[in-house]
Amino acid sequence: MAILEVKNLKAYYITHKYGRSSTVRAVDGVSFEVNKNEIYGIAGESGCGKSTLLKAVSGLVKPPLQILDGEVSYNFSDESLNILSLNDDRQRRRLRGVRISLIPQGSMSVLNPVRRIRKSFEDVVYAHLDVSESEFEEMVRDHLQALGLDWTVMHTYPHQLSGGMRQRITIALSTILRPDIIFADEPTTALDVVVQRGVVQLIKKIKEEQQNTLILVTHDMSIHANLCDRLAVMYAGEIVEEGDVQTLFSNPKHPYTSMLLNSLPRVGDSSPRASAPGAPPSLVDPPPGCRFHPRCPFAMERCRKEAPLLRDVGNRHRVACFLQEGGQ
Amino acid sequence: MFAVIRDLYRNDKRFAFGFTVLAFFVIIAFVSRFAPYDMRAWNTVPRDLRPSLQHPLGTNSIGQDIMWKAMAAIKNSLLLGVIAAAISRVIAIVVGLLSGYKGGLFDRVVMVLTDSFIIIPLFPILILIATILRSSLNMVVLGIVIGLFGWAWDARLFRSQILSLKEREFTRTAVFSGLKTFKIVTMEHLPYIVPLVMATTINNVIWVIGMEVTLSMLGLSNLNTPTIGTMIYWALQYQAIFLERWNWILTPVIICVVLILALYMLSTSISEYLDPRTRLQMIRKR
Amino acid sequence: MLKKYYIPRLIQYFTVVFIGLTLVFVIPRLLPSNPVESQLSRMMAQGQYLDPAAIEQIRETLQQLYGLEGGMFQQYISYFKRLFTGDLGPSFTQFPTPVMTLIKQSLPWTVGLLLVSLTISWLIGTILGGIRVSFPHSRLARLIELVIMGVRPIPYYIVALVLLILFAFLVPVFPMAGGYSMGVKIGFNARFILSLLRHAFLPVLSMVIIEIGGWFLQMRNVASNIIEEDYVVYAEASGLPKAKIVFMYIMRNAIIPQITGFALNLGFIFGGALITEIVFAYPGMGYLLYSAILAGDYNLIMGINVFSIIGVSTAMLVVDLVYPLLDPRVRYS
Repeated sequence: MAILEVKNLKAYYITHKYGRSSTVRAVDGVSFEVNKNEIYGIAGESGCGKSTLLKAVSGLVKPPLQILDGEVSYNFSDESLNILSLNDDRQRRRLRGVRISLIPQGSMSVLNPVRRIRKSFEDVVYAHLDVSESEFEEMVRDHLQALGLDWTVMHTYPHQLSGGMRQRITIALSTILRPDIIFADEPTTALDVVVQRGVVQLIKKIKEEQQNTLILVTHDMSIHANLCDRLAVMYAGEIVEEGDVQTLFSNPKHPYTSMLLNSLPRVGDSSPRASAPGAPPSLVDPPPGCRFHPRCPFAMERCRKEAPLLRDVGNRHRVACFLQEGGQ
Repeated sequence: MFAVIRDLYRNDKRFAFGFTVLAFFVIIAFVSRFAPYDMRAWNTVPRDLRPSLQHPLGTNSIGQDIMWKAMAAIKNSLLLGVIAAAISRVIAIVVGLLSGYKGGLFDRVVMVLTDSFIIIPLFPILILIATILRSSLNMVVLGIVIGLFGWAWDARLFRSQILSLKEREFTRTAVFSGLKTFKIVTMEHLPYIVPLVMATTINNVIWVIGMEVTLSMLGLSNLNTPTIGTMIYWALQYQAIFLERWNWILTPVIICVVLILALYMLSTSISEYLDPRTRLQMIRKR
Repeated sequence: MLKKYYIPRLIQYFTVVFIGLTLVFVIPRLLPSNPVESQLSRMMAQGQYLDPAAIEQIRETLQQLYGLEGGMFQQYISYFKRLFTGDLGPSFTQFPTPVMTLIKQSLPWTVGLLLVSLTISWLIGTILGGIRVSFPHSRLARLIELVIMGVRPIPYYIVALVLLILFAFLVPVFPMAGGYSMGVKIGFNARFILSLLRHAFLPVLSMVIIEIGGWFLQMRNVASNIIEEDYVVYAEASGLPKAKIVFMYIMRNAIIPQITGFALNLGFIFGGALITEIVFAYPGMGYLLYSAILAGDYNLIMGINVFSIIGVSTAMLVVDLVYPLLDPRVRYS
């Protein structure tokens, strides 16, 4: 059984100010499943709703973000639950860090600037486990050692560390309790390329050692190619294509996926790289029909009127495009 | 500009209240010119009358009509606020902009001076000045004196705004595309500075009005000029509270509270409108 | 650290004190009317008859008293010389008591009054502000905010007057004026302390009522920025208990500017709580200043100015020196 099932999820930002109200349809009818132990990637340009999807799925919903519809069910080995129906803060808190955990974007201020790293670890561990100080130290020491990090960082403050080091610490902190599912939100974006590589390897290592499920959100297709088993491509709040990474990279069915892949450099290919023309549409007022049609080179009359559904084209490969229906 | 005021007026009750009250007070200030009595003179009307048709708010113990006196007080207090705020705005803007744009040694020297003005307790110094000037202290002089001391904090605010604008992407784009400095400042930066100036101006007027009342209550202004402060001063001098002449003491007190409340609401409404987070939500809408 | 942080701040401190003291020196000399003439004209206005020779003599005496003899530069030098020896000149109204002695008598009253009201209002305002932000949906928190924001714009003297009328005049629970009852011996005894507390109650209450708003507002504004910081969002995503997030993540970071503000306000003690002390006839620095104003006691006003400049800048310096202890980002960079 899939460890995470998302059905028809709609998450909108709704604001009222100065008599005008606005609705940003950041996630608009998204369904997918993630299997235990796999690495599931979510790709797309900035502003396509992928970070919002991650917030909604991990239950970090705060106004102005609202869930209008849908189900997010987790099937852990010993319990199943729908995170959106949890009304009690305490129930949600029990899950966080232990069952589902977040690796945030590597910004300056993910770690509390006035607390030593050790304190941050204490906060997380003692929040969920009833352990003694020596048990705590042993646990953290083992974890850091496994990740190739030095114990001395525990006595530092966040601003004394480099960006890459801070991100490694954050990853260590997010995985110290061996969560079932890890959500990683653009874990490498704020880092420079050399450091990115190390961070990607670290994530891989943790996943192999802890045998957990990883959901990775990033716009960087090369990281998806490196890490993921399966990949979903999002466009304007919807999933437009989903499938095995190999299948998707070798045989993209959706014109948007092809565009994203065409912008990637490839070894041995020196032809100029094309970037996707145009910009993603406003999520306040998305275009009618297929949301991609204004940028699509193959747009037909039908695409302007009807929205294509996500359909299985075989081999667990799903695409939302009329081209795949043989122009029916 | 007009559209912004209209939007705020329609959708923010605080703004609507503040704007209406202020407009009302401004009208009163104009009407006060037609006062049938000389507001500086004593004993122009019978003393200590209860409110009546002829004297809607009654008269006080020094023979003045309270309603007309209050109207003149509103005019003078607003005038003082505007004079002092205008002077301190000019200084704050010049210092803030020059310091922010010029930078370097100039900036450092000017900022040490500005910091001194921020740190130095202004109130005792104002008292010192008022004590010496006492006899020659009219509205304009008082406005200038208060204005000369109320600029430092806002100069720092404007400077930091300029510094942040200088670092923004669009400034660099403008510089690289060969736009003249003057044009960058007037076309690109002024739209950010103007609303900030407006919000700080209102806060400054609140401060000035409060300062006037305090100085007057200490007897440190020209006590013959009707202002909110001097009205309270005379009422207290003649024991209006203990003699329960409520129409005399409460009129200036209520005017003061309402005026400050109105200005305060205007300023919070505008600063909320200026808050980048609110603005972001509004941009998304378009 | 020492070179980059402390030394520039010490230099700044001395510069500011120097500029401030210079300002206090220059202002009276720049104004069109000087204190001697203003004193003389006040004496004339009181209807005293003085023959021209006597006027000249008084003028000379006053000039000497106020340090206005000789050239500008000479005056400036002797002004600083006197300051260094702690000599602020004799008081005019209580001649020949030195201004320093008068200030020494008044200072403890003001320090007590302001320290107590500042601490109480700071604690309440800070805690309520933090709660308001941490529990945005709580009805009670919103009600508290409404009350605090409604009271805030009311001018202070009106609050003080209302309290005085209510609790000293209409319902005489507390005394109308003074720092302690007549006939009570000053010292460490129960009667004196009780009398002290009874007299200080209304002044402190009035200041607390007005000052809570400012602390509340600052805490609310700072904290509402902090709850959007990544580390708070991340702490929530890690399932930390609400209390831990509120105290160690939101409050702990928002408290830094609060503490700075607290220390800065300590500096204002030397200026006194002017209106409070006048309304309640409380024998502190503010009341001293008030009586100095009424009598035109120029030296005394100058002395209080000097005290408040040094007091406020020193408080500022202390804040700067203590700041690294609160914020590791400054300490280790």
